[in-house]
Amino acid sequence: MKQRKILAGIVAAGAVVTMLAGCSSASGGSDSGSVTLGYMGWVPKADEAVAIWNEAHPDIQVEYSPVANGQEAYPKIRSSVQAGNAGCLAQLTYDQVPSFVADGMLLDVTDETADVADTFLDWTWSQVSPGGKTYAIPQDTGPVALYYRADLFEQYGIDVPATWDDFAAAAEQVHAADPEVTLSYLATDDSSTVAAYAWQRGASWFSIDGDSWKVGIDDAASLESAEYWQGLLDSGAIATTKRWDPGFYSELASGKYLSMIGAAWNTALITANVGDTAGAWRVAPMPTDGDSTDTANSGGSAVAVLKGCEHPEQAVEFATWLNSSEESLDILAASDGGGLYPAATEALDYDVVNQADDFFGGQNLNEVFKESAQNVNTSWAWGPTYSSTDTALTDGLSKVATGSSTLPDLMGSLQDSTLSDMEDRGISAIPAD
Amino acid sequence: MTAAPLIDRRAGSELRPALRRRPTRFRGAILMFTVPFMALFVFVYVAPIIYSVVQSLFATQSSGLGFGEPEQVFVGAANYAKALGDTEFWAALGRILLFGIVQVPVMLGGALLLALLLDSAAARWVSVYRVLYFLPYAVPGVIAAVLWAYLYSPALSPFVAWGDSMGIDLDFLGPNVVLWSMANITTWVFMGYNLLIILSSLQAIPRDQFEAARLDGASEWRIAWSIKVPQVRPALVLTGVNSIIGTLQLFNEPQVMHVIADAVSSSYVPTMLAMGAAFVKNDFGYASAVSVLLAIVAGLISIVYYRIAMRSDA
Repeated sequence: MKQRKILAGIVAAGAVVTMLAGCSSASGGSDSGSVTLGYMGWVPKADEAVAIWNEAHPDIQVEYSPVANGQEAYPKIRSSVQAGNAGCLAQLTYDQVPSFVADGMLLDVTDETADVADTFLDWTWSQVSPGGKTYAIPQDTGPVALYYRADLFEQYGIDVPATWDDFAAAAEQVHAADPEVTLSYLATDDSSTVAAYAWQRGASWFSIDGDSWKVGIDDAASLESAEYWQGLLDSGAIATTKRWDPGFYSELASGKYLSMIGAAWNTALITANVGDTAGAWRVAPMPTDGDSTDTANSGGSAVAVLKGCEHPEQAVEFATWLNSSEESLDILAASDGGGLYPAATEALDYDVVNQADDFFGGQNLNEVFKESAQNVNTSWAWGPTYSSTDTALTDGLSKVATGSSTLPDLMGSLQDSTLSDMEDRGISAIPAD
Repeated sequence: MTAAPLIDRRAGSELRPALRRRPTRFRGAILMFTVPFMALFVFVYVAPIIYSVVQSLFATQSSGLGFGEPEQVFVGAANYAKALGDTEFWAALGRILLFGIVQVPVMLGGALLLALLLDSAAARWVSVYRVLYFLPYAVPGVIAAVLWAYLYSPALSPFVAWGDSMGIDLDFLGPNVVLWSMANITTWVFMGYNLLIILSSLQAIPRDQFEAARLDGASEWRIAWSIKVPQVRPALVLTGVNSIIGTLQLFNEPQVMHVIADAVSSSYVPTMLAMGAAFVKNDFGYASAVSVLLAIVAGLISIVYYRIAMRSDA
């Protein structure tokens, strides 16, 4: 009798302990020499590259968990770091790296990465090294180009616009011919492209001046870009859309938009999602501001080492292999794979990046992207509270779409909210003049 | 002289052990049954509440360029002051209050009406309808929201396509409509659930009361209104309090609609505002303050509703 009671007590107590332990199951353990690294990301087919690595490295096993795209993924990554079960590595777009560092979410791997700095484009290395210390390995860049439907351009009698003035004229022409169709769109959930438009015109949203940040989200170049796009929205020549809405690709496939201004990483997304229009697409350089040849970068990611990672050395080794080896990039950079435009310097000469792509009528897209990448103003920096600014920008773009705000007003309010966010956090910041 | 203490002792030994020994004898059993509950209650309920309240008194602070290790600084009630002065917080709270004032009565009224119909003497196939009405509740909340998102999305919705073909411009996601599109999802999911609670309460009413009323010449409507409804008031109060709390915690629907609707900002409802503060801005203090305020509002409204609903108006 008594024994049974004790047994029942043990079982009950055991159940409680198991339940409580379940709340805090820790990150990858390391049994006798073998190491397990968690890695969160959203590059299509990254799991295939990880499988190749795991095959060749029984002692450094990588557990890949796919997460939603960009902004949707960050709350998960942040909460995992907070909970101490994030594993080791996570994909971050460059704009998020300084915020994650400022929030104490990343691990300083300056020493571990000393040998690999030269493997990647200089400016991507500065993007992952805010404040002079390195926290991530660059993965890809997002040189912007104009993806367009050659068949529809012909149908509406439009030449590929070389400048933004040409683009505006073509947009008016298309809109006049068919009000249901527009030359392109402004995506209210793609803040990185809106930043790129300002970036291209020479804006400087964040720069460091001594011990303090200079914030210029409403500088002359940003306002110029905002006014240009507001003009196109006001005349109805350009529509707003949500590019991460599942309905977007059905709009794109239907020919509602004749073109898409976007970074190189869109290649794989277009290829995978609008297969019916294969062969009709082409890529041209991003329209420029008058005679300037400047382009811009939109997005692009790094693989960051998270706070709490117990094996930073192995994590850096894997991330470097993932982002620079031909073995991995054969998958990650293929247009029917990850579709990334690599940040590794030598990778731009790999065969996989220089393919004649049937989806794009046999075009070698790298000829466009390489030139775009060379004309990106690489001194652009992101501020330490940009994660907040980015959300405010996305919310603000939605207000522009519903007509309760305008792009120039939005730039002004972002400038104010960013300065007050930085002040709240005790970060020293002044408006750029 | 020696007898008295003996009797006393014996009397005591007869009484006290009855009071004292029972707990001792059952202590093991009492502990076994209560400790698991108490442990879970403390760990998953009391501790997080205390932790939230404590956290709401702190803020993250950096210095210089912001790349040093951030630290937590005690700020007293500053996060609460910030929330009370934040127009986004009030806008989010106002939205769900408006949502609740309309959606909760519509949903509970509908559930009551359906329950009365199923409970009426004329009802057939009651068990089939009960399952059919309950079915939406079996769909996980996020999945339900995603399903409806496809029905609302202008590019994919069959309703919008049908409207277009009829020359009607349907927009489920406009700034003045989207709140009610979400209310529709919530009603769809929870009406059957509330119906079941009300129906089981209806079916517990002794049938002879209806017979007596019928003999007195009462119509079915009269029976429903004057006999059935008053007796299911406790069920209506329960479902009402649940719905009010559910409304204040509204999250799935706006979070999913945020992806497809420009009218739904990242701080559309207080729960999204708190999540954004915590996991975008890394401002756990502010997120906790918003959560605590929301809990207080939920508590106050529930108490007021309970008082009004249970007031004896006889």
